Amino acid sequence: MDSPVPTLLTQADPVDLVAVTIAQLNRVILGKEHQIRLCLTCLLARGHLLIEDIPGVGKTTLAHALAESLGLSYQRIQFTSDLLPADIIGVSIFDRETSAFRFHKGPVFSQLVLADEVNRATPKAQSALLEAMEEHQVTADGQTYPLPAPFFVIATQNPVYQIGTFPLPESQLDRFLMRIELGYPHAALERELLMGQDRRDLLATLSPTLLPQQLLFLQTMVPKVHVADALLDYVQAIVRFTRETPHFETGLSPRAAIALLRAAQAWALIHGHPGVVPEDVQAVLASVVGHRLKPKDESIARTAAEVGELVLKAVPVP
Amino acid sequence: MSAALKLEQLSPFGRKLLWTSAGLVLAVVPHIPHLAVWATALLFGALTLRVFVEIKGWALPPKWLRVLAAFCALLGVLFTYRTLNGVEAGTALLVVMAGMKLLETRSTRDLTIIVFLSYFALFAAFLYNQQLLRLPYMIGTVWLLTATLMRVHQTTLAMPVREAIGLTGRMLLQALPLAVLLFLFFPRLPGNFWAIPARSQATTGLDDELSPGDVSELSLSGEIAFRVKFDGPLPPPQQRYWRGPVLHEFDGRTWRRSLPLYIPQEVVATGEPYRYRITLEPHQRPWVFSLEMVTSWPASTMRTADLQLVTRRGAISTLTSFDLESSPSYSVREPLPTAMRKAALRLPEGRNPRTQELARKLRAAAGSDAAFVQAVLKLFRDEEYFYTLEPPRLERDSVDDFLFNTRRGFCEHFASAFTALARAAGIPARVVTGYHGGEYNPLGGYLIVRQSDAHAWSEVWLDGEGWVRVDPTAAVAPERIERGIDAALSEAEPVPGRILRTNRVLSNIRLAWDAVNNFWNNQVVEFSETQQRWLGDKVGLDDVGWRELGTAMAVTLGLFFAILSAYLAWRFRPRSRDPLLRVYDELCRKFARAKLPRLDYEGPNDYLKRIAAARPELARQLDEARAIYVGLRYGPAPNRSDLSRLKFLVNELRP
Repeated sequence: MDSPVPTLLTQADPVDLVAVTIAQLNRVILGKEHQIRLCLTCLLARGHLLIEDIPGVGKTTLAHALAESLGLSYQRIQFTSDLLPADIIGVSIFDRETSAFRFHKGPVFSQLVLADEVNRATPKAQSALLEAMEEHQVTADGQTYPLPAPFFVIATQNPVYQIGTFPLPESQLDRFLMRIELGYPHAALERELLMGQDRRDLLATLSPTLLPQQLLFLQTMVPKVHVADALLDYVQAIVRFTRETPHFETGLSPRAAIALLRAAQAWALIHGHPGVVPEDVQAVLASVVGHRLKPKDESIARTAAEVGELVLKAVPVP
Repeated sequence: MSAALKLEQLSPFGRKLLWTSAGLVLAVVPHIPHLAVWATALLFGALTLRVFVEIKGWALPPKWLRVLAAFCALLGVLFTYRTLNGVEAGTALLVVMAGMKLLETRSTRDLTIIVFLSYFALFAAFLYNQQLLRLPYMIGTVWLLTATLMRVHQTTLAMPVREAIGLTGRMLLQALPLAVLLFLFFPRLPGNFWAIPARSQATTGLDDELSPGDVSELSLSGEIAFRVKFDGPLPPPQQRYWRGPVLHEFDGRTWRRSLPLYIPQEVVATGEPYRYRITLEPHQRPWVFSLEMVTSWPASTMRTADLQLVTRRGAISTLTSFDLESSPSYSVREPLPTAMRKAALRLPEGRNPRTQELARKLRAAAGSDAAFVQAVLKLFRDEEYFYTLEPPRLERDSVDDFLFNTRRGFCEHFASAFTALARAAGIPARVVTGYHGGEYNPLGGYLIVRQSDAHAWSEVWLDGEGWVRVDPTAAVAPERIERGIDAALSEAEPVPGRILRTNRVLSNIRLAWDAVNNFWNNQVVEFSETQQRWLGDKVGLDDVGWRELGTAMAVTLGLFFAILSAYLAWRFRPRSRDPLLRVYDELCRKFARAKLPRLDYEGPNDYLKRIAAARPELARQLDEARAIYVGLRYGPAPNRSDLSRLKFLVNELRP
């Protein structure tokens, strides 16, 4: 094995392990370190990621680079309005030789699935993917097929106001641990982008920095990151605020509270914190609650970042 | 529909503007009856314009136009009221300038000013009217204004209206003890300094002129003239004559007060005096009604030669109380001064000839002045004379017309006719106006005297006895004097509010409401230096002056705030007994004093890194403190021995 990855998994420091990956991704996606860290956090917390932004800011490149760097098997599904569930999960075909139906696995059977423009497909196709995400298995013709591990979906979607979109309902948005936005790059970095190598060529040069086993190991470490009572107080205060404030349609669900805590644990893990600190919660807050809270009054908070800031600033750290 | 849609789309500032405007309107509404029409129109015009500007997104009018408009408004007030001083001109100026201010409102600061102007306008309405009924409206408006003030100042999170109303309601309740203390102890100055300037406003009440029909017209009003609280038993109904203006001049139809000042005569009062406190509703005239015959009066009033009580301060324009003493019977032993005798005998030349003839005939038959009086009363009693609220109109020689033709009249007709007859017979006589009777309110233990109790009677001079009251109405309609106007007039007569007095339940409700009003008037509106002295007496301080009051105010306010701060300190005491949190709180407090406070939502890492960046010389200690604190509080294996190190670090820190 000639990869630079340390083989003694258990003795490696999670921070060092992840740092290499982050450094490599930073070379491809310029100036988006926070988002890259959030992506890895989401992955380590066994959550799925939704990237919402306009076309062309590097959503697909990010997903592709992530797959390459993590050494995961990778499939991309382009969602269109005529996409059928079978196009995602696979189809049973009659085999003349064995005189039996044989299941041809669809693109969902890979470790990292990029569901591109997920809100352009019909709800039926969307729910096929979302069910697979939730169950980590696919059932076809009465037969259940487990999905590979790790299994990580990165879905991208266009802002809902664009033409020809089927916005994901709240219940399905809730399946994504995080939603992030990439946004435009800085002028200086954009210049570098314009002058530098083609991103696609760059992707070809990427080598895996993390073994799938290492990734699985890191995932098992996330729930073990220490959570002090004081921090649980803080998380509960946040959840209580979202339920009591009149600014949102509904508050955060218990599942969302768990998601927030897991994400904070994963963030603490990759930043080398022995226990989760309030800043870890605050770092992931906007991306975890942004798509789960719907402001009653658009003038108070419109974007996920604004929702996150509203919640963050309203809840004192105990 | 489209307007509603527009309102929905208003910016946060636009909404604040709408709320502020609503508050302004509510504050100005009580002034509208007193304002010049153009001032009201100007305010509402400016308001409409401003709201339209906000909805349509237009630009505000240019500065020169606004200045010009404000200047014109000022001139308008000056021309309308001939002054900028006084209650009416002052409120008009306040209202039009609030309108002008609206036209340049573009920031939170401007909105704040509008809210304060609204408070001011609202409280200025108390200068016109201190009735209890106004109070709920005032409280409601203050509430709304305060809620608006609070919402105007919210920049990040707009508080929902209901929550804002709830919060300000609590705030107002919390301010209540403070208001009560200030009300009780704020030193009031005796005298005229605080007095509200008189306004030129017509109010109902007795005038110093009396023409046929004046009193009967007044009798249609159920308005309260004054209330009397007796210190002891009430006088019987026959003695409840409330003396007002005394009229000498007669032109054949109208009686007037004579202006020259006569020399006062000595009055000898007999009988047990009644002590009472009379609270006059503002009637814009200087006279004070008093039970006949007033013998003791406060220094702010004086008794004139014609035995009428008047104030030295001019017209009574606010609710005012007087402590008086009256004796039921009195006499004047001195002879009548010539000037007064002449005034009390004067009759207009060539008017009412038949009356004069009748008087001479009766006087000749009677033989004495006293017998003449009885003869006239007998005439009224035995002949066909009627007591009615709706007497027919009288000709130019009103007394002749009444005595010989119409024969129907109210008390002023009888008093006028009697006095004219007496004068024609050579007996000095005059007309006295005032009130008679009053309704006893058992709930408050006081007497209510209304405009409908207005009355007129006569006085004749009998040598040796002095002025003797003769009430010809008592001869015609004795029930009027014994049992009041409702009993004296037939069912068909249009007496106002008769049902309110005759129905038991309605009557009780009415009396209860009046008792509440009386309490409000006497204990709240009329609360003055006198009541403060009384309060001082109660707690054992005699002769309470402004120094004592100031001290009492300072002490009670100090006590109030001490209790409040103690409560708040207890309420927001550091909840945790956790020594770690105490150390961290101490650290935060130290830096808060050094102008580096922790934001509520700031985690320990962010905060300590921030202050370390601001204070590089302390960075090393702060980093260590941060590591220890975060480890202890959020770490998996807190090492308790680190706590003393943290305590030491925090103690050593000198931000």
